[in-house]
Amino acid sequence: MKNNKTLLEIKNLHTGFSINGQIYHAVDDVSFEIQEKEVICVVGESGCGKSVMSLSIMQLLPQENAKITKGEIRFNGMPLTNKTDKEMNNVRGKEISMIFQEPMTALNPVFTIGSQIQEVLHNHLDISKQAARKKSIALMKQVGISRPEKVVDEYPHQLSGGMRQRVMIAIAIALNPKLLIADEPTTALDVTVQAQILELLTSIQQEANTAIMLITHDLGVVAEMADSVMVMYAGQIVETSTTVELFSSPKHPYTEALLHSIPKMEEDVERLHTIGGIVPSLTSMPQVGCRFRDRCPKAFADCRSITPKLAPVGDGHLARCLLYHSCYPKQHRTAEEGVEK
Amino acid sequence: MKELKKIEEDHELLRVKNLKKYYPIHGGFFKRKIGDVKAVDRISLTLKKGETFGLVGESGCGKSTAGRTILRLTNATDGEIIFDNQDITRLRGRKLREVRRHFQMVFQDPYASLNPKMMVGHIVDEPIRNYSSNNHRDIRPKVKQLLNKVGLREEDYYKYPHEFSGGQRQRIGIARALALNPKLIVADEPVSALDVSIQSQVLNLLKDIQEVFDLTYLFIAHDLSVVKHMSDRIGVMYLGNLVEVATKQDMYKNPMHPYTQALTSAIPNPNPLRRKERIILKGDVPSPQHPPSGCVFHTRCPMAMEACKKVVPELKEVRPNHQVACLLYDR
Repeated sequence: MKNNKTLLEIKNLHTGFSINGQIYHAVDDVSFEIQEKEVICVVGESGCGKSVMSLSIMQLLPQENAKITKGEIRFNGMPLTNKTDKEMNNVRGKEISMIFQEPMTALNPVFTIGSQIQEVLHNHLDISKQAARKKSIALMKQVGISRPEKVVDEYPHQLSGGMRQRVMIAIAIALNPKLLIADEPTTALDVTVQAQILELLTSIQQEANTAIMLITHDLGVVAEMADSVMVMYAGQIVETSTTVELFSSPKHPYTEALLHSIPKMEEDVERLHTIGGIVPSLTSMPQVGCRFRDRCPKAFADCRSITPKLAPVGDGHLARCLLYHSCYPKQHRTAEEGVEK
Repeated sequence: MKELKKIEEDHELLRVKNLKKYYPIHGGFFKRKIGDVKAVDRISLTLKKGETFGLVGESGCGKSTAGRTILRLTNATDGEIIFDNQDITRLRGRKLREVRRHFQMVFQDPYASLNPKMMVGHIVDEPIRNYSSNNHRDIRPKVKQLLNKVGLREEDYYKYPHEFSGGQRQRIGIARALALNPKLIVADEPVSALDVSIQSQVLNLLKDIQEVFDLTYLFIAHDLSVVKHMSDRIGVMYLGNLVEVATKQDMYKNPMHPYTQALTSAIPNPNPLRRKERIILKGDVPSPQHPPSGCVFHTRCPMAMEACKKVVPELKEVRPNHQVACLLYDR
């Protein structure tokens, strides 16, 4: 994947929400790249900023209280942050498209499935009604909807959750976008349906060479789908690496704890590993030091006073943790309770 | 740890026999009854004292309805529910109220299952006040003790639900369920609304209090790995029917029903080096209003035979402690 062209480049992205006149950053200094054809997964718990980040890329943030305060988003070398809404409309759907979590709410209940797929075609292409209808049926076939000639005239409530998600995917891939952002596309679905949808996404990625940014909280989905992974915590990327590396040798204590706290099918354990406490809220985010320190089993005194940077810990492997800064002796990395330096 | 948990093999706490729950559909002229939604269609199971029985299945398979019917929150259409050697299927009024104190429920959504206008202490003590003439003040020490047991603080007595995170709210729900020292707790998707790191805290708590309070669980969830972690035995439901019942080890190592096999293979494995071949089921779950004839799974079953369309398979023991309802194992 490495030698491919960079498709999306994000540098020092800060997205802030204004609450009572003050700005709080839900996404704080996030930088990463997505290569062509790559499947990159973003994992993290609710409130870690993963959805806000994807909305920032699409410029779909609620305009009254959220905005990108700093940073750059470049798609194919072209900056997106200073585009007007009208200019963004040419990017959304055509170059980058998005699939949302709730297929029940993302579709409009009063329009037929066909007209919702055709809408995106009419908006971007000069296409006749008949041709758009034909194309929408072809798209539905492509995403595995049975009897598309009928479904084209049906309404969203007549379809099951899995079928609605397929319709969403049909809309998203209608114009062969280069990047597909899927925000928890299978969270609302059953496991057997989830398996169907993940298989569909993989086939789209392989046939149409679409890069996929998959946002999820399910580490199982990550392991099945991703080439590389970013782990987010409290608005920041805390670790990023290839999937195999992340699962075999996680570096950041948060990633480690996360991997240990899921029940696994092949193991029998009496008690699960837990992470004490909860994610700090947006308004009570520590300004200095590591944001995970209060829940971290390996935290030591400097974690309160020194803000860790995302630093290399291996080949293509970055982690945001003081344990891996070269100025700290190795003993900290294994010690349960670190001693002050 | 394992030794502490004792399952009393000969003490059957709950026996459910051929339980049915149909919801009538009315329509047409004079709103006559035109059909039934067969939410639960003849399920039988037993729970031994101290055991955790997991019920898995996809949405709409009837697992929650089964749980609610067993607790008599809705009335069964047919069948028997025997709780602690007493047939409770048709109990009414005061007698029903008397047995009800022995079973409690933990709900899925910690945001919707707590009254936002009530103080946490009053939420937790409500079951106690229901069954005694005590006022809030009499039982305050006991409630505070309960809060302690589920990992909350005594001060939390005076707070309101909105001041808590999802995981803590689920703890409040658990404290409320424990208030009357019940024998059976039905936990309906207790962790599916929670994040992974919080999920493990709540699962551990449920295991801890099982030992302390000597509880029997009916654990309902859609996530097979969570169910496997929690349960001693697992039942798999599909479209209102129980298709397989086995110990958790058996269920994972040797699933026999084709639906269970598909379900286990569909779970994404959190190990990137072991991406596996999945059995991908085609289509969707049929509507419970018009379930397929014969075996309800035959429309999606990769191994369906001609006979599956006609013969309804019975849940039979095909190996020790392993029951399957499938014609493949019918000899």
